[in-house]
Amino acid sequence: MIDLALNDLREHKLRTGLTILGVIIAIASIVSLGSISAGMNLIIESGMKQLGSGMIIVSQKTEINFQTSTSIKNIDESLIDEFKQISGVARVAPIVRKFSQISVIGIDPENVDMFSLENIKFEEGGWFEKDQYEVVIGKAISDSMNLKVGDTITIRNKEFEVVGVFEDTGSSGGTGGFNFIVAMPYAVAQEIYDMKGEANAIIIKPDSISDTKAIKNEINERYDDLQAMTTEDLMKRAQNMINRIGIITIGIGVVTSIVAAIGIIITMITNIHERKKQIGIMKAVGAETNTILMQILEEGLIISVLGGIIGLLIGGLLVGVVNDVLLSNMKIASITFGLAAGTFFYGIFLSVVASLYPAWQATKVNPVEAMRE
Amino acid sequence: MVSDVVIELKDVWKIYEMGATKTYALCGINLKIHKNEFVSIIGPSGSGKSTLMHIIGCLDTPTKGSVFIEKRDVSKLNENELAQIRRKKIGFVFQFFNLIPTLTALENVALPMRFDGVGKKDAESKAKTFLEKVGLSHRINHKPSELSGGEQQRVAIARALINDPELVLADEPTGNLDTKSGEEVLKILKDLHMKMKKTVVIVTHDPNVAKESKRKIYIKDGKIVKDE
Repeated sequence: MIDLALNDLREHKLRTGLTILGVIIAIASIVSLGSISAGMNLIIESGMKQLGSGMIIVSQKTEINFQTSTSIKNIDESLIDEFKQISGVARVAPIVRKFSQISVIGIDPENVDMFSLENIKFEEGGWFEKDQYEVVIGKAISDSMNLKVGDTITIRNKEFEVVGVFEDTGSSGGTGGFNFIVAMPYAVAQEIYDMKGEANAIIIKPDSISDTKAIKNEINERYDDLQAMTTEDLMKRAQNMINRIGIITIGIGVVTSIVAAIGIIITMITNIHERKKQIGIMKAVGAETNTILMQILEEGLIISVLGGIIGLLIGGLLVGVVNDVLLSNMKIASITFGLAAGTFFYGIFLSVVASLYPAWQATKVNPVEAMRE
Repeated sequence: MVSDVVIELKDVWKIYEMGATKTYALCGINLKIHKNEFVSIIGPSGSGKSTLMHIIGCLDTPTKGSVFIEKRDVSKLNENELAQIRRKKIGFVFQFFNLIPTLTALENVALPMRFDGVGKKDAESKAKTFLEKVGLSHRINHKPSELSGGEQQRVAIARALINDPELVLADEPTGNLDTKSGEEVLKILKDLHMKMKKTVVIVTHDPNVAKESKRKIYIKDGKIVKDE
């Protein structure tokens, strides 16, 4: 008898509306935060893809890789020769890497084969020449800034010619490994970021993957101010970050959904208190316990379904705003089907659970006492 | 000639306990009401007549004793079984109408059928015919607040009849109505007895209402003092 449940909710429009608003806020916040978290996961994973496996990344100890900060100390370029002397080291390549809305990487063309960059295909053009003011850009940057080979792009007040555009590497929501990259020659990156004689990190490729750990340990023991990490270590660290983001997302979701559930419980209890006589009449004319129980649960269900649908739509809009306005149309945040469906059904589950106690209270109404009121 | 027993009460007691204080609302009531009887239960305020009606109507259970509705002992039934009996066997007409304010006259009348699992369309179609019978075909989409007292009581009578119960219980059915509306309601109740062959039990303190019935049961201090 869903029509009776709808009828009762319509009778208390303001109260019902506010309760639905609580559910909307809960669902919208879970979906939007969850989508950002999911997007960040993909970005971190794509960062890992760029490095390839079995590599060692050396940086200053204060530096936290993959975090944007201008206060991070740089590493002295002279260390490159020292690292080359370490047993088991095959190649050493310094890089400049800057993160903002786009990620700039400075690397010499002869070193691209050290990274998974060598396997990437170009939509048009190719790699830049050493020491030239030339860049290769990711597909997302090409699309969002409408840049093609032959166009120019200004970075830190210097004009660069676009000589190549990577193919779209995006898989989920367009957040693929190289879609947001601007790659330029190492020396040019040093120049525009005022890093003469310095690099952000030095990448070491061992002769054999079995040498990786020994090289890492030797660097860490020999240089107190440096930190050597394998790509596997970085992966673990990234995983920790992903987990922390996930916990924060879940925490906010749990808090907002508990607030929404309390809203539903209060609404339902108030509603039942006001409708005690009505419930008594229903029981007097033959409503069984299940009928009363189902009507109250149906009211909770209607609130959650309406709140869920609107919450998902608003969550979707928020994600759109985050992508378009805050992240310059880069589609970092993305709502997956699993996230949307999971959040929607979680909202329904929570609302039904929140309606259980008020529904149980309604079944305990004594018809004779209720009709006397 | 009356024959089948519709209601039978055997030594029914209803005792309310509040702390150490015991209040005896009904004290060893024995009563038989037969099919197609028109009975008035008469008594002053606090005599126990409403308690008696609640027990006959399966709205309440006795502290002691047995209640039989069509030979079935209902005094030990659970809440759902009692609800089924109220829905199928008994139609209620209350002094204050007890209609659901958020529903229209049509929806109120259809309610007991909906509780019986009948679909909205079928229930409301039948409800419409019952509202026509009580002369309210033009008021079906009005809510109780838009109806007069007499109209509300006629809606309540239509609701009481929708599931075709054997027994109609009316608790002070004219108590909240003006004289004209009261007479109209009383006429409908008499018609239920005469034309539809229903068993009608009216609880009242009004001698003018009681005189319409063939059998009068007088109750005082929880005991039947006269049955004529």
